[in-house]
Amino acid sequence: MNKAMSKKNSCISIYPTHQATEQALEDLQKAGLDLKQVFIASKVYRSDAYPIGFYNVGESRCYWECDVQTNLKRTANAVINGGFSAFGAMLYNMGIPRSCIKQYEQAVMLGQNLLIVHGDSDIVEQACKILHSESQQVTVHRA
Amino acid sequence: MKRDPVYYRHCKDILTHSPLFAGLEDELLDDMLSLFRRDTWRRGVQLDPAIFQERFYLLIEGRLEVMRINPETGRSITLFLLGPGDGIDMATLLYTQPHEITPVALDDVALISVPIPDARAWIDRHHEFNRNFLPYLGEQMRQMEDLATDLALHDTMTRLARLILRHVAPHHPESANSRHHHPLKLINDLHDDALARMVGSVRQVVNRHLQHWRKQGVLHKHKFHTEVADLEVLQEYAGDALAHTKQQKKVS
Repeated sequence: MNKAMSKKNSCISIYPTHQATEQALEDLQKAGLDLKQVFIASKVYRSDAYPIGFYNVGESRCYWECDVQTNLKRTANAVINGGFSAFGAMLYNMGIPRSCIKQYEQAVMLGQNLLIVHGDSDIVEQACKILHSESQQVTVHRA
Repeated sequence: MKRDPVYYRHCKDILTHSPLFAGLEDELLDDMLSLFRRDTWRRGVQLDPAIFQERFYLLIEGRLEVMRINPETGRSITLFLLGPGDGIDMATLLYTQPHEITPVALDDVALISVPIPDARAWIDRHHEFNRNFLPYLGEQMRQMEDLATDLALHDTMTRLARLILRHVAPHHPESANSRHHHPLKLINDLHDDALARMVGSVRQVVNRHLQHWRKQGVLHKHKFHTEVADLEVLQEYAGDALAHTKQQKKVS
């Protein structure tokens, strides 16, 4: 049997506002989590058919565009492999299953923010412990 | 888990039909569900056994194969094949010692999980939960007993016949098709090598037996799904020990 131990680990939480997202980031930073492994996905081009805003959060806690943004702009409206948008394809490559990608795409289209922590299992579990509560759902994806 | 109107209801529906949570009061089930978080594992992924020492996982969608592998020879045996509503590595709730298991997702799998101490607290506090938990654990022990017995006492053909019979879906008159085929649960579309791991054999041997039964009209394969076409003949292959199963099915 040729099976691979899970290498792609992510946890994703959805926030309705930028303030709530900022608060979550602050919580992660306070706990000493490396913010280089944190991504925010939000809708930045209102006229586009697909959500493409994708930012990496750095040590300074300022948002900046990651390199992939340029590629995303080019393929923003294209439907690529497996019927995904470029944004969906990026999520798929992070190990998110097909069944969840549509939900995340819809959330971003509706103006909500996705906070994604992507990295080793330990870091993802740590982030999940910080962010998850009865009122804030966090989903852990392994692939 | 947040009471998301769609996913929450879906999970609750699965749990109310699962052997572990069936019959629990609505309020208690809501309390338990509030502790869960949502997880997904992609098809083919092999999980680090250490995560089962931290959290208790319940399957909501998809199938999971729990195996043991000999790293030197690469030989493997499937201990459990789990589906929606099943708990993973139940023994950890009672016995904390780490042990070797290799869980592999056979499909894209959706789960919910809760920290082990929270799940253990259910056993301490809720007798209603124990009324389901103990028989469920008993059934898993019985499955291990069957596996050990099959491996020690029967040849591959008998083991395979018994495996298939254990997975015949409960008979529903409305769902039975005109040819009276008996659908299988969980194993209906498994590859031969996955079936071989469940009976302690190899793909070639299992494939030979399956082909023989298809030619005989005992099994029927349609669009990669296998059904039992002749239950009585398969029961003969499985030996007398499963005669009581046949009787039980007739009664129900």
